[in-house]
Amino acid sequence: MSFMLLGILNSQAAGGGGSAYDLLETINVAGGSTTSVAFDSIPQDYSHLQIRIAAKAVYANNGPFAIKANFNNSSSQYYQLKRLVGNGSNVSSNAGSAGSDMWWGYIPTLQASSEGFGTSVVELLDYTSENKNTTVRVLNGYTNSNNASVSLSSSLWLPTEAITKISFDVDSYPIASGSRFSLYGIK
Amino acid sequence: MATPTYDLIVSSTVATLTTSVTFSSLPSTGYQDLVVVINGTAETESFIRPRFNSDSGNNYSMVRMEGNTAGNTESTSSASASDMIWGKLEDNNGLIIAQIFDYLATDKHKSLLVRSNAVQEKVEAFALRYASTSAISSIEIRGTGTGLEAGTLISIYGIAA
Repeated sequence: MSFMLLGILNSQAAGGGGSAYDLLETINVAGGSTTSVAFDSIPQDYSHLQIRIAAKAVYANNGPFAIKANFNNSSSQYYQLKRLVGNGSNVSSNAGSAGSDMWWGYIPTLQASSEGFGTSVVELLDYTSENKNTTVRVLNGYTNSNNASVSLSSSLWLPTEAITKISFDVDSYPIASGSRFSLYGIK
Repeated sequence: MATPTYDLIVSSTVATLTTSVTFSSLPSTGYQDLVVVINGTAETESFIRPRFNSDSGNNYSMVRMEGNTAGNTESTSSASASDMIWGKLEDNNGLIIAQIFDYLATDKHKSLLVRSNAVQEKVEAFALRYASTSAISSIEIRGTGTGLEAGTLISIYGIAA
């Protein structure tokens, strides 16, 4: 959570009034055959968005797999990435450019753990701006008996369009039942 | 329809030096996630080692990474520990923010993400798992050494989903 958000909450507690943080939509994955989910009609009257993800993939191997996301159905090579990943042994740093989607962290598979979910807290800043590129930051991680990962990453989307749709998949593998994707608006 | 959420559930300021602060009777409805914010100090240094539901069994696993003042990074992990590690506080102000997912779920383990800023020494990120399918009804914030100093603020927020 950002200092910005903490500041908003402090203002609210001091009598600022109104809601600064609203739940907009939650997608609960009930089956094991869904390979993608999307927030299709994102309201344009907030300053920032937060997405909270708890998910795992259906696959007969340990994985992990990556949560991939794109904006406004844009699969052109418009995405850039910087990330730090710790796996319990070392920390690695990677960069990517001209990607066709965004990397929002690793999640485990059903095979690796029947009960552990990978989680991400994603923040999209000034998502309605048509004057600058959209930046995203992600805190992600999971731990189970086979492997573990914690990561900090930031993505950049090059077009200067307001974001009206966000789509997700998990390296094209089915998303497990019990997974959820929640969207919040921040004033 | 937009639903206002991110509500302050409880907030407590440590009055005197203590090694333990317990928040019991957490809401059993209305929220899916919790956010715990710890902003405070320790006399020397104090690792923050919380437990849920007074559970001291070997039910906590963790992976972490840090960047420190020596200019190094490192990542470690642990499994089957009897408590969690959420970072540490030092004699300058420190900030820890823990995200607890699906804290009421009875069909899955509880997943956590934590960011810790002990700026005198390091910044850290953690992913943790509480290997229990019991709903979380209480959180004990435990500090090693002499513990949390007076003035340390601990707040818990609830988020609906």
